[in-house]
Amino acid sequence: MFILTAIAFGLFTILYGLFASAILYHLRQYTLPGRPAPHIIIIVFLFLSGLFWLFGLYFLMKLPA
Amino acid sequence: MLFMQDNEKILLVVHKHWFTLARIGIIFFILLLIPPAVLTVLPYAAQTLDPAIVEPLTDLALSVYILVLLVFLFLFWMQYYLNMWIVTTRRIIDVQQKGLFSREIAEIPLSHVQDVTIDVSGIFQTFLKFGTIRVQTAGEREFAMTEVPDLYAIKNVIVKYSSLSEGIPSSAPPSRQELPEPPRQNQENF
Repeated sequence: MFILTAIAFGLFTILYGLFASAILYHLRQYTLPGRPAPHIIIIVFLFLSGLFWLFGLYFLMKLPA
Repeated sequence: MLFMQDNEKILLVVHKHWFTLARIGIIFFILLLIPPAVLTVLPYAAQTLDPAIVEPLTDLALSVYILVLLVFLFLFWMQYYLNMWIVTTRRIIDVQQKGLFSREIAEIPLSHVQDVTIDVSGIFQTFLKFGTIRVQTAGEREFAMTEVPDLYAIKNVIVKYSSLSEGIPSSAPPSRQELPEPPRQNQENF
């Protein structure tokens, strides 16, 4: 059970990382300079993503092997 | 990357009204309410399963669900933010970001503008003061942006600068393509 869930979570993490990177790339590439909003939103997004990913990892570790 | 022409200045950067984003936010808020509803029912449904497996698995699924909502909310915000009209002293640049793999940039020289139309329809548009603005050019395509705030201010700026720019030759006809690579000198990129 643990191994299957860990593999699924790993695949999800890779897909999530690729998708998020693509969005971040677009924002960095096409945002007009001198505008603070994207930087703030990016920081909030990265913080929340990291937080919920760590929650996910924590709950994954609680699964019996 | 967009490039400015000589002596060209940005007058306005127009995004859609915040109501557009709020509508998406409401949908995501409703989607956030689904897990608590499921978690209320789950203990009864999972009575026969081992709680040592069900509990962490449920929490993990909840984390993943929130991450998926978060990344899609971020995607919609990116689309909202990168969809814009840039009104400069010489032209209107229409930037349309459609998802991650489609981006269109079109421009109209202000000297080609013949008519600017404002359309406010519906209760939300009337009370929240937003609507559609259309720019018609001489025998050419029409530019339109829906759900735009400050319609009258935008219209006034376009009308004012289109009359000022009459007689000034434009560098390029209106086109729906990536802006051309400019000469290296005397260019300010943004």
